[in-house]
Amino acid sequence: MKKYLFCLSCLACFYLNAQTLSAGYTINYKVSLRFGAIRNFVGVLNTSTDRADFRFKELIDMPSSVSKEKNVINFDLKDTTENIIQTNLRTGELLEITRLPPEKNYYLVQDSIVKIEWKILEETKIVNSHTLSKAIGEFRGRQYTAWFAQDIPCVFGPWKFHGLPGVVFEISDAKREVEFLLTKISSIPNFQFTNPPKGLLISRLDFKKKQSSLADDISKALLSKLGREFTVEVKVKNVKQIELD
Amino acid sequence: MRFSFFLFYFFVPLLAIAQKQVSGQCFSEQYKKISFPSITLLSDSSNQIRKFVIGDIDGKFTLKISDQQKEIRIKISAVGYADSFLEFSFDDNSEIKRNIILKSATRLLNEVVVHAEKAIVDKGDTISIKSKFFSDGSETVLEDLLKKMPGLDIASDGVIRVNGKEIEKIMVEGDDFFDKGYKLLSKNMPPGVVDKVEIIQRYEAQRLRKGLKESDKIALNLRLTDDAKHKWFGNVDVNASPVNPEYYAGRVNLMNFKKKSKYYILGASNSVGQNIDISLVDQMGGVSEDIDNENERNNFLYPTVSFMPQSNGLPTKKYSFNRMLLNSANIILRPFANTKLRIGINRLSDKIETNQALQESVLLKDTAFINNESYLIHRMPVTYLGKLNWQTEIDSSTSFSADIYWLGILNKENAITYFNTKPLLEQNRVNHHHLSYKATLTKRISETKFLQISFAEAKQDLPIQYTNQPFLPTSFFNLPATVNSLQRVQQYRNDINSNLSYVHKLSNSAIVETYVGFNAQITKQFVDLSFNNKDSIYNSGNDFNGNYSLNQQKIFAKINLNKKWKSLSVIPSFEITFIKQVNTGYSTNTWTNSFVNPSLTVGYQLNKKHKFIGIFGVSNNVPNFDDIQPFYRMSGFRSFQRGSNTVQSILQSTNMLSYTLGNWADRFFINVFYLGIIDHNFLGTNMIIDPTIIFSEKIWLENKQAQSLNANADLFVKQINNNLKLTTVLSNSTFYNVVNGSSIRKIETTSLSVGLEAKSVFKGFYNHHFGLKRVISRNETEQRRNFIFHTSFLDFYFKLNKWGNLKIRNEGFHFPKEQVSKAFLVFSDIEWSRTMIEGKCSVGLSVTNLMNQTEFTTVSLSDISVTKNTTTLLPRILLLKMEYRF
Repeated sequence: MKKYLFCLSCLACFYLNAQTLSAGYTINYKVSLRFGAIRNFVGVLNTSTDRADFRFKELIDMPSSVSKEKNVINFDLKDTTENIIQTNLRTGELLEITRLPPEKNYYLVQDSIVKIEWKILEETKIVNSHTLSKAIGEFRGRQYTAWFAQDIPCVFGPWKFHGLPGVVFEISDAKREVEFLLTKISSIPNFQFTNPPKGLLISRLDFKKKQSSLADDISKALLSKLGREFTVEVKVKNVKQIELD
Repeated sequence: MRFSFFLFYFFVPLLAIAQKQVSGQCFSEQYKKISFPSITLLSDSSNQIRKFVIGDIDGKFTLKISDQQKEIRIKISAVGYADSFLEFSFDDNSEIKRNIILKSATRLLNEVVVHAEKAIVDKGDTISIKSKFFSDGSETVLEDLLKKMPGLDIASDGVIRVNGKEIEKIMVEGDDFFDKGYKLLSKNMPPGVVDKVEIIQRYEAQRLRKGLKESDKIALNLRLTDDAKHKWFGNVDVNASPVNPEYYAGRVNLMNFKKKSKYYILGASNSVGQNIDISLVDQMGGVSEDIDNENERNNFLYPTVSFMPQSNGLPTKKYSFNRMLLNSANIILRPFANTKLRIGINRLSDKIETNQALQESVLLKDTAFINNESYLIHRMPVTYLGKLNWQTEIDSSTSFSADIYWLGILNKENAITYFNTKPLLEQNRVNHHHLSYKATLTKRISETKFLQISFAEAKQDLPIQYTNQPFLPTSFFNLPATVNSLQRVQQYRNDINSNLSYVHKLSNSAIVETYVGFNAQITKQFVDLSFNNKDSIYNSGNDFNGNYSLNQQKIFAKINLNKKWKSLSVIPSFEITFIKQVNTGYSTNTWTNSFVNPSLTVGYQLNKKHKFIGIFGVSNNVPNFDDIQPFYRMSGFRSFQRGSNTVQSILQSTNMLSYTLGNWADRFFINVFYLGIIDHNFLGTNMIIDPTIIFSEKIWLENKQAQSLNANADLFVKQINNNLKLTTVLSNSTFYNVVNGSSIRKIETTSLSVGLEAKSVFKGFYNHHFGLKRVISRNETEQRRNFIFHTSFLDFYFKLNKWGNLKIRNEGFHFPKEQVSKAFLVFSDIEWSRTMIEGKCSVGLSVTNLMNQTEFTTVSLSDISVTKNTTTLLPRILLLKMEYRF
């Protein structure tokens, strides 16, 4: 029994060592997604030299407003899921942990680290005494402009962004539909990566198919509840997301 | 093959040599590899980044340099290490190899907090809907486009709701033309220029109050196409009938929506019921003390007699023939950067004809009789509305606004009436004038405090002249058999409101609102009823003639505290009112009182699926003018009404509970709503009912109760692509009255309606929507009266691609044979439209009342009688439509 305990503690130490970082940052972002509705999220990026963990969650103000008007009930259609992106440069793997409301289970979406060809422009600006450089790059159907700090080295950006030589302060696409704004940064001695929650491992392609079919169902459920004055015409459109392809 | 490989390996080194590069590997002081370092090439003079590369897992990197550069400066950085700067000179070498050792260093990064400038200001929760995804080119007016957008619900009377809540206004590029009178825009503006419709939830009209208090108001904002923002544009649409020339519709819109000036000019005329539910009065600003309810209280005087036909549950345009003419000119100007000026001039005239017959079977304890009445009604109201709004931003935290509204309603109403075969001509002349002005100073004192001071005054003048030729119930007044009657009612009202509102946000979860104000209202009335024939003029007596005035002064203070705890929201409210009323009629009485009105609103969200809301309140209100005034006034050719001539406060308690399971996007959704109102005392009626005359006066009674329970459930069945909807409404009320000198009678009314619907959402060219509803009404006093009927509808939609869109709508009514002669009635309407030139020209055809039904009969119950209401319907109408946009 003691042998097992010894082995277990050794393995645990090894495991913990493997999970521990030497140094990194905790960076907070305000995330705005404007695909029709304006949705605001809070995002937290924890980084080490080779791994990053980005979590973002919709800003909610529970409970929703109480209407004093008679016969009126307001509904919230807010998704309070915490989305997690874990990037590991050492293995070249990217894992997106998310849900498809109203389903409750998590999906572990397997993705790869796609290299973004960043082009550095001459333009600079100063924010909080940090000189920010401008870079542009294309990632999955969107043209992004990023502002990063030269003096704070970090290869990870928020969400799936990476590959710039400094901490990303701002990043947004050309249509301003996707926007990440740094609100706070602090250095941390180490960050304990947590394992992803239990969920269904799925490829990115299969996940996209599932997502599209679910959005179609929700749209039908919504349209079919409208009154007699409303003429139904179901149009299938791709669900607009950060990634366009 | 081997030769190819040879060539490849031979040329690769040559190619590599052709470009300069710096390569190497990064190590720590302990000679450990540093993974993923950043190597940046800096410009000579500054720290401007020219190029960069991220090293690999072993810290190895290769940075390629352009040929021209000989002297270079690079920076090597990595998390946990100090930056290292190196300078190289290429000289003859085109490749420099260096291993780099970085000193470990804790980067002393002071916590950085950035208040980033937002690129787009979020106006609460804005849902932006792109028009092109919902438009198929068949839409004639904005309302047609809005009907197709999910989340927006447009009722048959044009009221627009989002998630069941009526919107406040429709703005164009952020500017508001019509306030609550948005129907004028939604029912006339061509939709082709609308790029996006923004649904602004938590809309806050008062810019300076933004972020302080969570609003539950909703507004729409139209974003126009770029093209439309710079030029004059508009449309003309013409509808004519080849077989019924008296039916027509035409409309001209002319618009220019620039940033500094916006113009919207509209001319519309039709006889097919378009715009029949537009009211210019909705554009009026109010004089309310509550900044949240600015449009809600106008303290309008209403005519004592109106020839509006009795409601039968059908849309007005099915039975009222109206020749409508609407002219509207609206301008928004920004003469200075901080000033906005809004001017509106509107005229709406209607010529409405309605034909209705009523058979009233009165059955009381000691009396039973049947009266037959028929009316051919002509109403010709002309409404004028002028408005001028001035708004200035004095500085970034202070604004001042001044509003002036003038409303005139001139109404001529005639009715050729038959009462049990006796004919008479009723005429009513109304001249209502309303002038109001308001000045408001608004100050955002700090991030958490807001102050608003307003002063408003409204003056109204409402003379009415109502004549009967001849007057029928002559025997009651001991008059000769043939006399005419003339009733003149002159009313005048002056309202003064002075208010101070203060909002203080104590924390993110607690807001205190304080209102302090003074209202003064003087209402004066002169009533005169006389009878005449060619020989003499006869007086009607003291009860029908005289002067009356009511002077009401009110000082109030109200405090709301809005507090949230995670999933619980509580709003206790407390109002103290001091009131003084002086009424001068037969004698002068002064009445003073003070009230404390508490209320509590509680919202609780158990989790995302279950939501509860409860509102509990007690209020003391004062009765309105019409319920107190002491003189009998004619409200019809044989009915007289007067108020109580005494004042008490009305004590009312209200309970509201609601429960929601799921939300609209779920396949299964339930919504249950309960409302209970108890009037501990109320103004009921004491009636004298005779076959030829009815006298009704208000008396104080106790314990009136009303409750209703609405329960709706939606189930979307994916397998058949249909949504099944169940709607039930159960309502019950108990009240009391006195009839023909009886003791106090108890009346109980109950109604239950249960409806089932199915709506398809197929992707193809066909969709349907059908439903069935059963309605049971019961009225119980000495007698029990019941009426049960069924309604149904069956609609088909066809999308015929290049042949346009076809809609077929059918409605069925099924009444009990013993109560209604035509027990089963079906209406059918067909509408077809087709775009000829995309965005320019479309044609269409509509047929209403395809089955050519001639009349519609329904039954209404009261504690006194059962009334059968037969309305003559408009015939089958065929209209050809054409629209041209420019």
